[in-house]
Amino acid sequence: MKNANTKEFLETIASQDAWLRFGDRGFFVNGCCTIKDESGAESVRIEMYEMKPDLQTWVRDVCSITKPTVREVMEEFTRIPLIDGKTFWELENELEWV
Amino acid sequence: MGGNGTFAAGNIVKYRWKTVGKIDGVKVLEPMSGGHKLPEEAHSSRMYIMQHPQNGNFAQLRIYDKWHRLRFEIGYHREPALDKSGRPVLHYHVYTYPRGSSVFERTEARKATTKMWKKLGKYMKGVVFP
Repeated sequence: MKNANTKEFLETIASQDAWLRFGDRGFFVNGCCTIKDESGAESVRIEMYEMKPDLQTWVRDVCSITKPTVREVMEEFTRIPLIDGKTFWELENELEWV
Repeated sequence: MGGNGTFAAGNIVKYRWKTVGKIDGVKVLEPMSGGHKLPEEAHSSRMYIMQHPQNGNFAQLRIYDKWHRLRFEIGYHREPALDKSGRPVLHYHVYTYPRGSSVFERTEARKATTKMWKKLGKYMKGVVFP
């Protein structure tokens, strides 16, 4: 990442929120949460939204991933296209953690 | 002001946050380098506030237990599970520490209650509630 440690960023969004910039575009990662369905079964969800440059106004959903474990969520998050058809690892050097 | 486990295992860890202000006695923290978030541990306070650096609007508040661990977080941003529109919603998460694990888990978001707003709203510039 342009200004931060990538490992620390991924560890952070595994349990917390984070704001990102990619060029002049803003993004918000709604970090992993444990969710329960009606039967009480637990799963983990992460979501990412594109935001206006103020980083406070929602523009569109980027992704929503729900899996049984944090590990599976994070593997999927880094595997799928996020921005302009590129995956996290393809974007990594241009992302700024703000 | 904060240093992610500053006293952990007796090691010295560099400070990563600075206090940029106070609201009613509660410190407003800003990271000293990239990574806009509040600490996961707190050794000098039981509560910290983070604001958006662009305009000072409220972003997040965290409360820590007597063992310095993160226990509660209230934030203001979009939560589609709570509000399908693009509007931000004041919501909270509870942090738990499963037995045998040093890593916390975060509950799904729930809408902040009126009681929370009455108690904590004074720290939240720019927030619309409910």
